Amino acid sequence: MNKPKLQRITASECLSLWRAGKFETHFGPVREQKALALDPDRGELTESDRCELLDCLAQMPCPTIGIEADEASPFSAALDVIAASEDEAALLLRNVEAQPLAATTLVQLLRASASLSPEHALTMESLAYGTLQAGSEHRQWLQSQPLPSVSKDDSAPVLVSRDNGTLLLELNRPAQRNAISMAMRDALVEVLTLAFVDTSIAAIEIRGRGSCFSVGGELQEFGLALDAATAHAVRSLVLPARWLLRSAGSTTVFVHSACVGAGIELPAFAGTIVADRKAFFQLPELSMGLIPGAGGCVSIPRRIGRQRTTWMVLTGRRVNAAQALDWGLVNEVTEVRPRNGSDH
Amino acid sequence: MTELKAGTRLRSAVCATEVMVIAATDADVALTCGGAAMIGITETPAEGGAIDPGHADGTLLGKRYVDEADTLELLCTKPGDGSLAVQAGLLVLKEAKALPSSD
Repeated sequence: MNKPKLQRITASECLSLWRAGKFETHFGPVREQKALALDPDRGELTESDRCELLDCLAQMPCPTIGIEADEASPFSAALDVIAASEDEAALLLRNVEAQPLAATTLVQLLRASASLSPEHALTMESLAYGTLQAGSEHRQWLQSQPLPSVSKDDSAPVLVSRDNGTLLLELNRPAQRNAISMAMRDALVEVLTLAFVDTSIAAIEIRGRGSCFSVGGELQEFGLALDAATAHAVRSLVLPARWLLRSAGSTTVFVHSACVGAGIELPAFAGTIVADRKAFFQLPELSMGLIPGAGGCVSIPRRIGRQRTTWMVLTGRRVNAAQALDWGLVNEVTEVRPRNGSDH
Repeated sequence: MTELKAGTRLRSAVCATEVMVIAATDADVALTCGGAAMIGITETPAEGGAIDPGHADGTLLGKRYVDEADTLELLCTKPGDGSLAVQAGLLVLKEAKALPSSD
């Protein structure tokens, strides 16, 4: 097993490095240490030491990792992610070392955007995502994939109907497990624009047809962006998240089975998420050298907090419905029975 | 006839279609749906009206419709079986220019 050794430094060691101006020479994606794991030993810290520690942790140029047992410590809230065990901390470190650019960009974004309005935070997310799109980690992932192409559909990617004041949406690419293609993106923006303009629409319900709610962005189309700056400009105009945010309070999303990437990032904007007992949630973007880019860096921390969001991205692990309910990622767990896919 | 200006809501007298005016540079147009003059959203259609077979292509929820001269733009807020038209002819679906991939 090639397990990177988890070196934990104490709070006073951390402060010594900070005061010596050594954070930037020791830590970061292009330095020796890709992450910092903090030892629970508080040592002899004065009140002013503690304040200085909180301040410097917020400026650490890499992810900062703590271990759950230490949660009582006064600085654990300032860390980027809390591992359940030493083993899990080692897993986090391993994943950060595999994609250090994406991991650091994620934690910097989440630290900075926590206090922003969701609208401005979306812009920040897109800027961060664009930076990573142009980065070596994402390019390497793209090279491992088949050449991209535009995903075509035989029928409408989103089915829309209206029941008096309620707008009913169904993601309708069951054969592609409701992967969000450009066509689905545009269809979602169109119908959410209708909901914004037509004030007689009082409620929106969103469901997915077929075996799962959505596996997220259509991977077949990854790599089609003209360039990272244009991709950011496009996201500023046709990001479904931005439109969903405008109707968030009146929106209920019913999810079942896989909710991966955008498949949870988008629902997380809704006022209410009703999840099937077998639903699960996963953010796989780190392995592609990216961060959640469909609004998840905004919607998910506002539901479950910054540390758990970072945990989901850095571990890439599935969160089941019970855990999601406990965290507040979803509002209700029950039975969600979708209509069958058109291929049935 | 209801005056057409941005925000005006109208319904078809012969099918379920409802629209909202997005832009109207010429207020004096005879707007029809299913071949019959559209009426105010709160008005009740006269009984016995039927869709003109030449105006029966239907309307789609959330789509925008424009006339050839681009003086009128409507948003379909409720779909129906009739087609929208002005004196000059049937309105056409406004196709938004699709933007490229952002991934």
